Amino acid sequence: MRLFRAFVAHELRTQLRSRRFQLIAAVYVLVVSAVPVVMALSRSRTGIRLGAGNYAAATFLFAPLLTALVAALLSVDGINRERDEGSLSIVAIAPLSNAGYILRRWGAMNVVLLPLSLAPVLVAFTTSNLAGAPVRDLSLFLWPWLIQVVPLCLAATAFAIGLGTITGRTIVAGMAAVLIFALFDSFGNDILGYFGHRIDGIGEWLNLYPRSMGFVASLFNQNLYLGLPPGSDAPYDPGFALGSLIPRAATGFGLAALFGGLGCAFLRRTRADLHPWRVSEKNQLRTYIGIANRIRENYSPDPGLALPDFLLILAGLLIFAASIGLIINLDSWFRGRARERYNAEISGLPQQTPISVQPRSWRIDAEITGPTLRSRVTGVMINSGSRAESHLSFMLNPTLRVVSSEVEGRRTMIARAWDRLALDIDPPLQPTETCVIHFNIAGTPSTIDFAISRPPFVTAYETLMKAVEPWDLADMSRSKTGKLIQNRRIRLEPTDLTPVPRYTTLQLTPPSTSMEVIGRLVPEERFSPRAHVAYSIRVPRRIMLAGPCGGISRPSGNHAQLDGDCQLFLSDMAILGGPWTPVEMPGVGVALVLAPHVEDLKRLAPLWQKASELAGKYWPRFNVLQSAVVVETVPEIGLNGWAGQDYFDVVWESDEKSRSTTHGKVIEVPELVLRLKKAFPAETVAREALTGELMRRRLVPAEQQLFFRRFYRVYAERRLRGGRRQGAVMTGNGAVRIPILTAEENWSPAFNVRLPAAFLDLEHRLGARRIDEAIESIVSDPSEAPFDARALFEVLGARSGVPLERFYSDFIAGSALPELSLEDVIFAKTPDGWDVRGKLHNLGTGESLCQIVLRTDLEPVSSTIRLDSGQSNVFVLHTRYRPQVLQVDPDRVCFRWRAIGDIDRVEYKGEK
Amino acid sequence: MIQVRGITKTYPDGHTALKGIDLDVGEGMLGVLGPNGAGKTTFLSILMLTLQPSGGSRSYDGLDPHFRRNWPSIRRMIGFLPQSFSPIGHLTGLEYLVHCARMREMPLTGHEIEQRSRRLLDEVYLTEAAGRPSAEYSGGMRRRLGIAQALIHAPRLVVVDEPTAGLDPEERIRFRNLISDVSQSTAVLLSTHIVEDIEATCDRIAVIARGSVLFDDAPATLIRHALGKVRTIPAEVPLPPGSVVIGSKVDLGERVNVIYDDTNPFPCPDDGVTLEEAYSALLAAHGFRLDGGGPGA
Repeated sequence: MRLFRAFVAHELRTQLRSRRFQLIAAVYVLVVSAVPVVMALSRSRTGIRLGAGNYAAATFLFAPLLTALVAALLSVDGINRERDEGSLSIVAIAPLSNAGYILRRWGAMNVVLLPLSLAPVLVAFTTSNLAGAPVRDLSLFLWPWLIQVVPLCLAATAFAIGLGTITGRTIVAGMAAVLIFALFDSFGNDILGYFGHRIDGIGEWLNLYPRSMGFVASLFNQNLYLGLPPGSDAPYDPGFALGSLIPRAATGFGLAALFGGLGCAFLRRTRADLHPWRVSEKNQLRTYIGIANRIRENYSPDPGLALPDFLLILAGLLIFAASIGLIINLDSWFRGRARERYNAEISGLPQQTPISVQPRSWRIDAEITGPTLRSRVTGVMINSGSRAESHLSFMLNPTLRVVSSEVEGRRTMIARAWDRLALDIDPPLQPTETCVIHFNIAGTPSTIDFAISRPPFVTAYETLMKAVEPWDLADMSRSKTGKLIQNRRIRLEPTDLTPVPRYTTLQLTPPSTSMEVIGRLVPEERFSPRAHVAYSIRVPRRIMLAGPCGGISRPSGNHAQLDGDCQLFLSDMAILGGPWTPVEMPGVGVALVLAPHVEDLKRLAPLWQKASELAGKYWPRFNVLQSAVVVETVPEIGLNGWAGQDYFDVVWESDEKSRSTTHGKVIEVPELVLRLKKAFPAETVAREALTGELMRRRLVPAEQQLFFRRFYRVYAERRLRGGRRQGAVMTGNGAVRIPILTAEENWSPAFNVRLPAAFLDLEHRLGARRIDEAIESIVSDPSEAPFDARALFEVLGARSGVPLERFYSDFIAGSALPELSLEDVIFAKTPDGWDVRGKLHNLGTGESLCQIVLRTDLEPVSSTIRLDSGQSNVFVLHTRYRPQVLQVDPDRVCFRWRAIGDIDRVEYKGEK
Repeated sequence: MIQVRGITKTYPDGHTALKGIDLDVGEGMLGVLGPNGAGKTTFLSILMLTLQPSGGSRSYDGLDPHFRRNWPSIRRMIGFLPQSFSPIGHLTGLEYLVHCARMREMPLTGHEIEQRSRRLLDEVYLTEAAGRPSAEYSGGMRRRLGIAQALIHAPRLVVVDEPTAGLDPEERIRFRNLISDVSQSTAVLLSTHIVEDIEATCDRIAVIARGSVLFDDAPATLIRHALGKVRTIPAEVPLPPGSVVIGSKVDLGERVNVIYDDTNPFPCPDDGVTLEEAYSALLAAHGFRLDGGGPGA
């Protein structure tokens, strides 16, 4: 230890007196600190109120990369300085071993560098406090430093000291480093490729993401603010971050250990005795042999290495091998899980639960300890159908074990594959008969995010399995398991708590012809039965829980207990938790938010109140937003650069975007939304709540789920906010001729433009009240048979007495789009007034039913004209008053396209 | 203390620097003398364990460096002032010595190390410069600081390689005296090609040339060997057959050549042979050309 202190004292003295060090250190601190400081200075341009978590995230945007560079540079520089200034001769006769020297040198270097790397963190900490984001939790800054910076600093110094010692020169060391990583990435992966593996580089460890540069550039741009690095004010989760770090850091850490260890064999305190190569004077290659001999002389390992030296080299080799082994092991583990998932998904099994067998009651008793969950589920299911059923199918988080399962009074065969659970019971469940099912569930509920290219999973996995070239392979060790129970947040969806009956087929959707990413997916569950749900969940006292029946957890000894008992859609059975502070919200219920966000919540509280009033006003029967529990959910932020909720989604996205998710009485609001500076419309909150409610009321065919969701959304939007500003008319180049019914993408203009326009026409034809009545009757129908889009329009037509067959086939199922234009319009004076004649021509397709209106000095005259594709009709309008203008569809309620050159307005300019 | 037997060294480029050195290094001061390129530095490097020999054996107080575990003990035993010694420039003389003492794991407290460093600085006449960065030291001061660092860990042997090269006469004398003082308490091995340094300080001399030890005894013995074989003749007088010029000087206003002639049946007068002439005579006797052309054929 005395010797180590000597190394440290010398390193500190040397570096602090070195102008080079002073310059590098100053630049390092300035650059790393600049990001949070400039962010603080430009905070008025952000769409959200910045929190301490944002300043912390900004600090660690470049800290890993720059720390590694500075550490490597100073370490190599230190080695060279030592040789240049002759201080190595002191080392040469010191009694310590090479390993002792290298290790102490490494330690001393880090004693200098680690405090330096804390300097920008302190600057950011101070900046955050000064910029109105008081840091209540130091761990927001310290944990990332410990996890993202310290290991990198340790590894970079080890690597650089090792490589610097081996090569002896800074430039050669730099070139060697590039060569090593390049070779590792290419040649190494070529070799691993033969065994079907691949190891990605250290870019992610260094936090190298192109978006980081875009963000920094935007800090200096007065007009644009490009996102934010993901940051949260929730307590840092070191476990999750470490889990992400290990596979990303393993390669670099292994290489650092390897070269750090090998460095002790090249200290050159004792030069080896090398046998001369006899080269004939006539040898044509004598020059090259001479060069090779000099290289041999310069790069031969030191002779007579001591036991500590061998131990260090061995340790380096072992750490390297262990790192590679760890990566391959992780890779294999994730491959195994991916294979399980693939086999399950490709099989399309098991068969879904018959729609006639539905839960009547569902009880969940669960206990949360650390990240694990133990849950006892008792469900009562009833067969309301007309035939006996023996097969039940459930979905359950694949990371949870079914410890036991039992159907009372029946023999049970259980089969599990990935997230599917099949129960075959004997004797079968007879019509009107009920059965009681018990499940014991245990495990650490997690998400598994496989590191294989883009979705769909099945296609991506097949591509991986067929890969023959290294670049087609994927480093599956980079896959992530995100624990759903953490100290900072608990987010358990229904299948994370209990097996949930599956009613939609598990057969993959057909491959998409337009976009690969939307085909071959496991269909989403489209039916969620309503049942009497009761739950009782125990958690450690520091965590608060909220459940879909409303109410929040209550302290009970060392624990907190959440109880709930209500009628509920099983899909709403989500449990959310966190280290929250409860805040009363008048008119809504209670809100649970992180302590730093209490003021933000108070700012947004009126919005929730208004949303609740709106929802209650239009659909009092649904009662969706009253006595709600608004909870703040924090993003899952680990080391994965820009993962987490996107700033754009929250700040820049139009009001089309939902900013909250509803689970029964619980409304989940992301942290970023809570910190929005500009309040978003309350109508969007009510709209989303209502859309979800309408969707759950009636089973729809799987392939029309998206259509119905969007239809209900447009409907709710129309009621709450008046709908599309341009009415039913589409203009410019935005003529959308995509059938709404079969549009596959959620963002499709068929949903965002065509459907809202068509809906206005529909409402014009039917009247708002008729539509309300029709939808009320649809969602109130207890029938469990799927209800499709054609049936929807039939009900709408029947309710209103307006035939809608053509409307449906032209505009919903088809791609027709009328385009109307006035032709040959003549204003003719007659003895008793004026005649206005002309033709209305449908230049487009589909049947239009539009009004033409003649405005006069006193009262308008109108006529409704029905036109099929390409058809034109003559019209004559008579008025006693002087005409002013003839207009087609002046109220913009007729679904059509108005192209450039179309005439839908003719002004009266005097008698002819 | 140190026994060296049959040490050979051939470099990877084929050059043989040592051809079998046998030498014992004991108490007192041993001067290793030899022309440039004789293999002195190679020999010292091998002695200091910074270079592996091609053959032969070494023993340091019975410790065999063949066994790696003995190296720390051997290194503790020796202090070294290399030919191209340069202290760490940004450290003061005192800081430098303290650093050296700590690196060599002296079993002293910090205070004791500082006291010892100050005492050594005093002994090498650097008390006043102790607080100045060593980069500001003159060549002589650096060498003296070098001696202090070589002694800081109280070694049993101090090896000094070409310590006076490049020093002015005053500094050279001061350094010689310093070495001489050191040798009172510590064995010193002084390697140089400057005979004057040896003459002034060493009670034993080893002459190395062409990788071999030509002579190993007291300086007086070397002189005695030369007696009767070294004489002067006027510069304009032709050389007797078989004789070799080993030097020239001005004697009583006349320029004379000093020649080595072991063929003369009439021994020369035995007075006036200096150690340098005896050393040159030894080299000449072994076939070295001493006219500035380096070792002869």
